[in-house]
Amino acid sequence: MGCGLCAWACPYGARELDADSGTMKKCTLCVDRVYDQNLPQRERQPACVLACPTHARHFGDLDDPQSKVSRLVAERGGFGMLPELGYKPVNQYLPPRASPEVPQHKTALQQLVDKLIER
Amino acid sequence: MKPALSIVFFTVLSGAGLGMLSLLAMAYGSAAARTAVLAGIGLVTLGLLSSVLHLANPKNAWRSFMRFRTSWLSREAVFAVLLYPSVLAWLLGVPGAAYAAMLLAWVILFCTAMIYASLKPIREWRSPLVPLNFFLLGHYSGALLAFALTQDPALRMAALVLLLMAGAAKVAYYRVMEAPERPTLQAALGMPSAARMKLLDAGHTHGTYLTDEFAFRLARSRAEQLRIVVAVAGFLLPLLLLLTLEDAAPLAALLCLAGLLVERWLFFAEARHTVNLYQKRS
Repeated sequence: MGCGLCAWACPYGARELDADSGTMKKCTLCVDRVYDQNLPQRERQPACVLACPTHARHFGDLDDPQSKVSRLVAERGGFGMLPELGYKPVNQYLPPRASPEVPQHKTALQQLVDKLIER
Repeated sequence: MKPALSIVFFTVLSGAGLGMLSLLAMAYGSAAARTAVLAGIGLVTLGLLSSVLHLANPKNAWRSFMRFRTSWLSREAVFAVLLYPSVLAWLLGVPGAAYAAMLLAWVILFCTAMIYASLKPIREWRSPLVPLNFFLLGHYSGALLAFALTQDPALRMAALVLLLMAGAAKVAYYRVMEAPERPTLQAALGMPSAARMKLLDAGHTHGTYLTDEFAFRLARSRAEQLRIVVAVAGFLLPLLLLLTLEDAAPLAALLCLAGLLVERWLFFAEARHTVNLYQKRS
């Protein structure tokens, strides 16, 4: 009914009021794409997942422990935001990966300078 | 959070009406003065109508009754509807109806307060002092109004006692909720051990629904000035008027309501929602 209580309750700001229709809206995870029989299987994902150029977004069934997203979350330590609020969000974020260390060849003098600067 | 005036008026007016009904039931039972009971339920009705103004889509308002098991808003709506037949029975002299109305009034006040106290993203409201304050402030304002209408010295005494209790509870709330534990940006983004983190870009250059609703920030000096207004108009002046002047009850009730409107406005204005963390404001 457009009271906005769900927006107050959502700590992440996922709920917004559509002023024109007076209804609360949120991301639908492109449910119309996911269940669209006319699309090829590869394209039955949310538009943002398909659009991401770095493949940072993944879509799948977290209830299935063998699915790609469940394995990603388990392997890379995915977490939900603000867990202390007890909301147990389904959305899981993967932490930034450590970049691989680039081997550096430094002379003894450069290593000494590095050590002094570190302090 | 942006204080919605319709909600400020709703909680203060319906709180006063419910407090008034409960005190009239306690003081007189079935023998309560008809005008006073009608004034009480009238205030509650005014408050509820004001809350409907807050809705962006009022034709769906019937849906607010449908989640009684999980939603404090639904529980409040259901009990508020049940209040009307019980007050009607009270006016018709049905024995025990006055006490049923009193119990319903208590439950409704509690449910209204729990709507706010149950919201985890708003740390300022996560305290049992919130329902306690709603309860005491509603009864205090109700007692003043009931005294103004009936001129009963017992209600004057009740108003004085409730003034002191409500004032103490309000001071306790301001003390305890001075700086609630809010999540840091690091904790909100899931990296609590990170040393420093700064949000460079919130992602929008124009206001959104979220910034309109939650970005309201009250300057500390302004908040302190308004708290003084609450203390003076809501508590000190009515106390003085009740103790010194004979016929001062209506003026005291008016001042009390004005002070409580400011208090409720501050209740919303001083609250900060966690969504601000994700939008470049702490």
